[in-house]
Amino acid sequence: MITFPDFSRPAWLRYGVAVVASAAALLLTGLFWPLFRNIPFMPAFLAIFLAGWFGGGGPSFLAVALCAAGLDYFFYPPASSLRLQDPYDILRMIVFLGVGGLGSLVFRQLWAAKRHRAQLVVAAERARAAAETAAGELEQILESITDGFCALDRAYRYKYVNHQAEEILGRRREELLGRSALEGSPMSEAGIVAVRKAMEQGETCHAQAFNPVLGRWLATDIYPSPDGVAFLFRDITDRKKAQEEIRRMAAIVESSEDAIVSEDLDGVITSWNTGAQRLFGYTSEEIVGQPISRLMPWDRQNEMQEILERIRRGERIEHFETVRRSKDGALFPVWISLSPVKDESGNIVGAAKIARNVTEQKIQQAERELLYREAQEAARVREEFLSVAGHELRTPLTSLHFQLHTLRRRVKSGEQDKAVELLDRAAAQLERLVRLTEELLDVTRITTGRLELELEETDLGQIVKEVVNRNKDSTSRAGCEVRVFAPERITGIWDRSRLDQVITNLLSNAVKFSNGKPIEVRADLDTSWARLTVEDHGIGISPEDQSKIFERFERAVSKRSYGGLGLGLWITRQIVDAHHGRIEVTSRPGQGSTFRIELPLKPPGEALA
Amino acid sequence: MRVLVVDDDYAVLDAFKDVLEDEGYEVSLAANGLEALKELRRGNRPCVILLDLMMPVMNGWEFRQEQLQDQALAAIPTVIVTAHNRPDESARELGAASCIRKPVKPEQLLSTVGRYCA
Repeated sequence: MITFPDFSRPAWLRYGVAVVASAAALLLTGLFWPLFRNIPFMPAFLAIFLAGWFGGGGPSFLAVALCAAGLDYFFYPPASSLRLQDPYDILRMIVFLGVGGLGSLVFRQLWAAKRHRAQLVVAAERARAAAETAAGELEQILESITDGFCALDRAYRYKYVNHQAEEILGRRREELLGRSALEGSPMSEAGIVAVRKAMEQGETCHAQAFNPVLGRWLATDIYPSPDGVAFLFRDITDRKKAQEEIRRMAAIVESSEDAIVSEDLDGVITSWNTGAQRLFGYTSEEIVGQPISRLMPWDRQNEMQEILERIRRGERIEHFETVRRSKDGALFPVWISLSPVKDESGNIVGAAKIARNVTEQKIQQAERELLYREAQEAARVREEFLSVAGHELRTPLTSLHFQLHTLRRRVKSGEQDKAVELLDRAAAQLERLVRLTEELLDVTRITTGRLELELEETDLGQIVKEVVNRNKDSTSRAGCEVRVFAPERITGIWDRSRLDQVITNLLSNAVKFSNGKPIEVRADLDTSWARLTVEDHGIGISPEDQSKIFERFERAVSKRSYGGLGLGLWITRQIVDAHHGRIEVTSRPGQGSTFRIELPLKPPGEALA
Repeated sequence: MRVLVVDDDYAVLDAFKDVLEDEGYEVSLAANGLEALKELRRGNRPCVILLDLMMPVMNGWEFRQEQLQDQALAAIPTVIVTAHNRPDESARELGAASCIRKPVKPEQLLSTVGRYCA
């Protein structure tokens, strides 16, 4: 604050000077009375002038009053009195007071004017100081902001460049100030376009572009002003990169086939990709903000607490297999992997979850398991078949060994009849081996589709009798009586030897399981069908086994008790099928079984004779 | 010297019988375990039993159970004669004296029988 000496004088000094000046004027007038007799007011005017100049209107008035009183008292008759006798003196005193008062008024006005001028000066000084301060502060602000700041004049020349702008643009302000921003400046095409637009159209413009000169992304806000434009700009390369990264990650998440879902620690869904929409049927709008438990079947609701508890502990959960529910209520198996999601300070705030529908895998797995079981079963059956086949072949071979041994002895000892009998028995064993071999070959023929029938006119009744006769020996040794009920001539177009095989199989089964009880074999004729039944009264077949016995290698009885390849009924059915016939069994355990075969008299497609 | 042959195959029974009788043995035949038990309990005690395993009515395993439970019969040496793939296993399982796998040759059978019927 600037002070003026005139105004710093205290009142006592200013009034004191007035008193002293007045006293001095009176003293001077008295001392030099002869000189001042005609102009007694001259020193007084000097005192008034001095007091007025030095102290202003107030002291000047005081000096007028003191001088008037002193002159009247000391120099105008009557002496030592304030009274005036001479009218001329009174007049003079009035003139003195008038002139003095006017002078004081002038001083008062002068002082008021001076005071006013001084106040104006102070105000101007203050204003100037304030302006300087403001400009300094503005510059300080512009220099300290983290954005780059430049101002251009109307000719696009740089007139201000702040420190941050130097940093971002990589130029010193001395290199830029006064130069055109349009040529050779580190400004991108997009930036120049925006600056021109702001300048020419007076609009605020924003530009966000990659600056190839700097190799950075810049975001610029351009503000027009009457004398040019100012622009603020900042380096957003890192933000752009982060955005790019986020966009890339989002695209990956979005394009994933798997459902990717995030949830907070209360189990509320916070994000939802298209994979999740495909898997669960809910759109993102429907499900975000909803509890994750909506995806869980009722009986698995407790899983959620368990999972969230593990997530809170910071655990990852991998390939957890469970069941989830879709929008339409369908349940499906899923694999779920969960990992905790952390915020910037490392606090766990939720979970990211990847879910995959494994229905297909489950089906494939089940198929693989089924195939594996079937393969294992096939291997087991094959193994068992080979063991049974071995057994079946070894038995007649044993008999043959022994029969030949005895035969040699009988031949040596010349027992002709016994030798012949042994040869017959050996021939029967040979026949048995041939039949077994044929049966094994039949398996190959049938499974490769090469079971060919030699069709001819055949009498079923005749074959029945032949087979029964041929097996008389073994049936009688088993203690079975075989009763045959067959009329003459049941003829049809069939394969004779295969029908023989069918009847032999059925009869030998009946004998094997008859427990010595009688067996009935019946054959008869319909208009277009021939019927054959073989009925025994033996051990019978349980209902569950009845469906299996026509399968390959199957047997309804323990192989510890009954030999055989387990092929007879299977081959029988194949032969009947090849003749377009039917085979069925009725049986009650402990009461016996009845096998019933129906054969068309002619193969379908041929007219009946 | 009596030998009991138990087999459901009549050809085997006949063939064994001829060979054994030629060597001077008396031979009893049974078509299954049940018949064999009946034969034994009639009092015709053999010096050895030649036992097939796979038979109807009463198989070899069941017969051995019955035989071993019968004080009078348990001690009779029993030789398993089977076409089974692993006769050794079955013989051990059944506590049999020995085992022969079919097809067996007459000499082999005779030497085995000779061991128990000296």
